[in-house]
Amino acid sequence: MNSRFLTWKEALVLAAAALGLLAWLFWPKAEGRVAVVERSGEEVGRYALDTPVRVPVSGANGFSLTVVIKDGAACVEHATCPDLLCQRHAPVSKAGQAIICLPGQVSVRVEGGEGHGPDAVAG
Amino acid sequence: MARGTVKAIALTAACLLALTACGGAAKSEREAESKSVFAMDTVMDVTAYGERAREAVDAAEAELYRLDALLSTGRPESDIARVNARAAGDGPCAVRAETAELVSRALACCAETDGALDVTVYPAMQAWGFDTGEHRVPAQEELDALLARVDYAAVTVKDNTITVPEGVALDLGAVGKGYAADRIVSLWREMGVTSGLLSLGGNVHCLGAKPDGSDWRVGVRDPADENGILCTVSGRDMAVVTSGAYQRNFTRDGVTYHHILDPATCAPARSGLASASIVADSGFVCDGLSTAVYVMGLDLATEFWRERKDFDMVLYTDAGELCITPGLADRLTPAEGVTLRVLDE
Repeated sequence: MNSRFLTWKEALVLAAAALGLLAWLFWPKAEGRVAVVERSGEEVGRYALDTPVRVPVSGANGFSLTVVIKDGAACVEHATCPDLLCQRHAPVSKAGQAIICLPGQVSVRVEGGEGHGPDAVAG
Repeated sequence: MARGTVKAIALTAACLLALTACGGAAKSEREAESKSVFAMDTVMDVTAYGERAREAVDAAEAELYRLDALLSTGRPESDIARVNARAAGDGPCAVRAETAELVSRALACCAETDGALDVTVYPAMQAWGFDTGEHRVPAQEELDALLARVDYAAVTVKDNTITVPEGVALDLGAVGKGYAADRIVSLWREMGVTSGLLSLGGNVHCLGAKPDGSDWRVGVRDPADENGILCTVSGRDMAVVTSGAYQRNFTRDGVTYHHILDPATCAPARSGLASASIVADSGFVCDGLSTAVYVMGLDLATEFWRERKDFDMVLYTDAGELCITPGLADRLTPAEGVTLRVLDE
């Protein structure tokens, strides 16, 4: 046995280490979904959709709104922009979905999770 | 420690290093840089992959601001605003060569679509308040009078000058974002970027394939559900642009008026389509044709497509039928419950 390159015990250690490494590298990461809030293209913060929170955001042009995370989704409340399209937008919860406030230049975009949705949506 | 165990640990460490190196290389290839840019009255998301991703995204942002300053109707110093501000008798307005070329291409697209796309519909857009968001419903007499001011054929482009008759005004809103996408993709190619994704106010443009080599998957929005999609189109090096009544509209006395005006009536197009999407390799073509095809409606659009066949389209009717051209049949997946019909060649 000593003449062999590896003993069976050593081979077992090596195999276990290699398996562990492969699992670490390729196992799907259990990353949760987050709402990424940006103002004028600059990130304001990232908020896990599984943790309820209210985030007041001062947008551009003097407009403000509150991003609300609850029930696993993000929505906008108390917007002061003139069209209120952001406030009327349905809550977003899937990767790639977004709520945009154009007058305030604020975006709320869902990222992460096991996204099987499209890479982008036209329309 | 036994010599063999040391050997095993050394081997494991070597494997670890090798795999980490491989992972590192893959990560560098897949490194993404994204940015949201507010320009052209909308939000634009740009994502580039690879070693020059950061530089590519910055270049895209600068290009979007440059084109906004060049083409915006709302910025008095832009070429288009200067053309529109010329009074009768002022003569031709000198513009940059790029503007002249773009307006020529836009006018050609208007002619090809027999006026279903008309880049002079701006006075009517103003009458409905779609330019400012202060919406109103113009009287029929006002719309009738506006018809005389909507005529792409009255615009002349010559030697980097543009002439429009008094009362006529240009608006490149129907092709500007598509042109911007083409420009950015061209810049990225020059920089050696091989993978990227643009979503310019809902105009999607994919450069190359995804970083893992697979096709991009672009959804087409469900007009009735802002979070839903009608179908997914797969591909690479493609643009997908959708025009729909749901994008900008307002409701008065129970009637909803949307922003895609029929140049033949100066009123919102009622063509029986809820949305029209074009899939092609040029963002400019997709942008212009999606508006035109929406105005045409299913039958005219199908005839138009049969004459050209240099693009694909997805038309969603008010009756809930998703009509697609045969070129998309093997790369379009309808959402659950959506009725699909492949148009005849």
